[in-house]
Amino acid sequence: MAGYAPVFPYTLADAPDVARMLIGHLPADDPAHKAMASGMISWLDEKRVEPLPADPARLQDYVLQVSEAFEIISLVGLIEPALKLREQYVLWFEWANRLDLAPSRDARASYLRMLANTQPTVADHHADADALAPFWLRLCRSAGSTYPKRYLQIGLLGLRRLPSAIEHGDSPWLAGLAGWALEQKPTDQQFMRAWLPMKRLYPASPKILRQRVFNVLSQEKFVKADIQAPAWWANDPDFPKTTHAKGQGHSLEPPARELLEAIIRDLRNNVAFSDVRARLEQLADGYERFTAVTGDDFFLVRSFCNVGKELLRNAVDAVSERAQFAEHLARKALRYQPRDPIAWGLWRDALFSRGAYEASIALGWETVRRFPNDPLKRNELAEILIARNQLDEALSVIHGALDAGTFDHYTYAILARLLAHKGETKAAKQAIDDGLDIAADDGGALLSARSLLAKGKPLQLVASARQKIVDTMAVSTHDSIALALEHSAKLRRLRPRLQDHDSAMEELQQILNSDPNLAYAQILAARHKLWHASEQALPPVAAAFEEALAAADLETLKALTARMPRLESLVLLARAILGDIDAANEVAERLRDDGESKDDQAAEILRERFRPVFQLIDGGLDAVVAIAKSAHKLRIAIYDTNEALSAPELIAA
Amino acid sequence: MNFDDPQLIQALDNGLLSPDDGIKAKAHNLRLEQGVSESRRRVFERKPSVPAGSSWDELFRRHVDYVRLYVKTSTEQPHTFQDQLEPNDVGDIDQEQLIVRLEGLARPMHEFGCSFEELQKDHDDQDVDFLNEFCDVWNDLRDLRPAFSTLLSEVAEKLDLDDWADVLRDMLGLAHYSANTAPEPIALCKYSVADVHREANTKVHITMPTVLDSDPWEHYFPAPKSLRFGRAMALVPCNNEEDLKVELLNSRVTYTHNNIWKLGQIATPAPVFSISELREMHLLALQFASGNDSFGAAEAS
Repeated sequence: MAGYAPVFPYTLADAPDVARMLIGHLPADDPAHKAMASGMISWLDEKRVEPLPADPARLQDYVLQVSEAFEIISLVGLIEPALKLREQYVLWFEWANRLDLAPSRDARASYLRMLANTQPTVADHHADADALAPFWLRLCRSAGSTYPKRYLQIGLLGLRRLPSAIEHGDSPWLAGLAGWALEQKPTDQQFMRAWLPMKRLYPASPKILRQRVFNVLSQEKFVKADIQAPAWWANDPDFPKTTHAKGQGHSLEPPARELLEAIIRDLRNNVAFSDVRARLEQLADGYERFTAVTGDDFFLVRSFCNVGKELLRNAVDAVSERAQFAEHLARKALRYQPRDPIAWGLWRDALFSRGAYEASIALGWETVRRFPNDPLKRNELAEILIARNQLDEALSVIHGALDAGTFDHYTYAILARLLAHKGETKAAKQAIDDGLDIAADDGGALLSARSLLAKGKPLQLVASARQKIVDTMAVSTHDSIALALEHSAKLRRLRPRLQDHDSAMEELQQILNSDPNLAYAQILAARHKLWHASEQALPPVAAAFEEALAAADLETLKALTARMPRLESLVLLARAILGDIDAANEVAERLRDDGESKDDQAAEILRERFRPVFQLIDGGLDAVVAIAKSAHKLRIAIYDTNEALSAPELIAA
Repeated sequence: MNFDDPQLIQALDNGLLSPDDGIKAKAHNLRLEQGVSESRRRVFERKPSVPAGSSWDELFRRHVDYVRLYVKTSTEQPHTFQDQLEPNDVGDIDQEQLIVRLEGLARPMHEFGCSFEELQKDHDDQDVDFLNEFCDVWNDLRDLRPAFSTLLSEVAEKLDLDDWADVLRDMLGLAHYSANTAPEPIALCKYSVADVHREANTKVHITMPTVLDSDPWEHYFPAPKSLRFGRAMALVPCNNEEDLKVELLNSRVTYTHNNIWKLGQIATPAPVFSISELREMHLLALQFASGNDSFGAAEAS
């Protein structure tokens, strides 16, 4: 990859061409093919943990080598590396994501193209061959904003290479194109430039084409946006202007509502899982097919989460199988909507219910990382830790919630149980009173706990539902995705200890030593001045931000805003807590306004945490003073937000 | 090309003395080269890419490393065209002169997601949107490395042949386009000198190839500077100087549908001849063409 091979006549050919011509025609069980597969894996494993070269000439060559490695896997059809790079996408995407210097030196694009092109290759070896469909749809939508416009072609390629689309003759790329058009608002000319080549590659009669386009455009998100068929296709002569929604029948509908309702009813009526399973699978397939063709994921996500919760709640038999099915539904929902908090919770609970306790805890930490404002995520994590008898850690989660201001009355109920268990009855009573202060009329659990304590009786430490599972379920093994998430979980639980514990810092250093390119570790290390983004080639923005904040470097913070518009509110708030008056006023104004902005996700997290500051400002304090008074909590909010924003999206596939 | 560094001088001498014809040929190319400027040579010697050493292998690795870092570039212009390195300028050429270049299509077709037949059909139909979209993907994959090309006038008479793709491959010495188990899809791209000029951001953007513009390769042969252009070393023995085809390097041209002139497939493996025989005959032709029979004589003997 990095050198030269005097193999006449291919000496001057690029590595992917040499590999293609020498190995591409050999069967997968040929020793040369096998050797290349294992060689590529070893080579990439080594590259991934290598520090990036600082010298620009070497860096561009490094990126070229990595890009060519991904290309070889795809061109030659190396199944084993393709599977590994797909199953460990959290790891590989996170790495490749940084390696974008120029269109011809973009390892992220090469990685994604490899994933797209190898979908048919790995179909027989992967449980869910179409698992990347939602990611391709998202990639299309964000080609021109989160990703460069040229990524539209990669998103469309991914959709074109979906095994089920090939098998059924579906055209999911139509939904990709429409999603892109809706989000990116191309000119007529730009749209036709993207559409016409696809039309050439997939010839169909005008009638079928119109029907397929109509199927896409009749979905809710297009209707809500007042998009009427033929919309962007209006300049295609095969789509006369008279083709509009009125009077034209849908050819594709989501599965009948009655089927969903009947399944939920049966689950609530304790019908045996074996009698429901076939209908569950039929339901899931129906939603997936509908979503793949139309791009409309609303029904799928909502229904999968509802059914999943019912499966866990009514586990009267086949507990493990029910939990596995619920997990399957949660992961599918997350592929379409990676920020859906209910699906994350469902996945975590499904893992717990099938006895994958460590994975469930890892997921619990990951949900806290992704939804730092959601008290429920912290409460549920604490409950799982309690059920696993990890009481100190549970207490630390609860203290963390209180410290961050992300709590509700139930947080105090958990705290009371933990304190009472430790024999700290007085503190437990105080926790109950604190909880009742914020939920006087919704505090059944708290009132009951107070009554028990008053009578000198113990509080039940482990919640009944979780206790039941722990009593009946054997510990099951991890799956690969949960293992991948354990990295971030380990770091998330390390985070509170980094400030005051040398051992935590040492542990972080060890993690970085073993994997210097682990983005989350870099963020935490930069925060604590253990790692310096400014000394790295292609430093990740999130880590560069942490370093600038730790060093109170206002100029670097300002420069980061220009590089990353999605961090604008975050950077402003960071500058504000460092005493920048202009930034304080601007961020206060920005967070008060909940209109659309380029940094919606950051603003959403920060707005909630900024509420106490608004009270001070509305009480007459200057923004900069009000922010200074809450600086500690706001700093935690900044950390939470930066971590949540840097969590990789390509997940759960 | 004459090195200053004693270790490199020794390394080159070692290569020239090698019993291996391939190594000897590569060393010969370095020695014979006249087109590398002093400033570029000094950069080649100074860049601490590979530890200095006096073995041929160390010089060889330095050469490979240099090409990867400074010729196959993506954001900065390759050394080939950098003004301060005094490029091997071919001088004025009429802006309307047409340049042609053979390009492999297997990789862009794979990344774009189309077959050769689909591309051929759209080319036959001159489907501009399709071809431009294909070119967008292809252009993204192409970096700034210098493009080996020739003038249309050099190959025009061969283009009506049924096997024009194989013939051009052999004439231009493009051994790596070798059909192994399946035909190799290629495009003959065409653009004008003005097209190169329009996109260039260096003063010199069409040059005579030098040994430092590509990896060490025994099928490359430096031409005397007096010939103004390079001469491609064919894959088949060269019978006389009229068989020599002009070879040049141009800076990147971003392709559109207009530049994809002909599509074809190379159907045969690259022919194999004794490298020393090919080089001897090529050298003889170069000596005739340049009227300089001392060119390369010392090394060839």
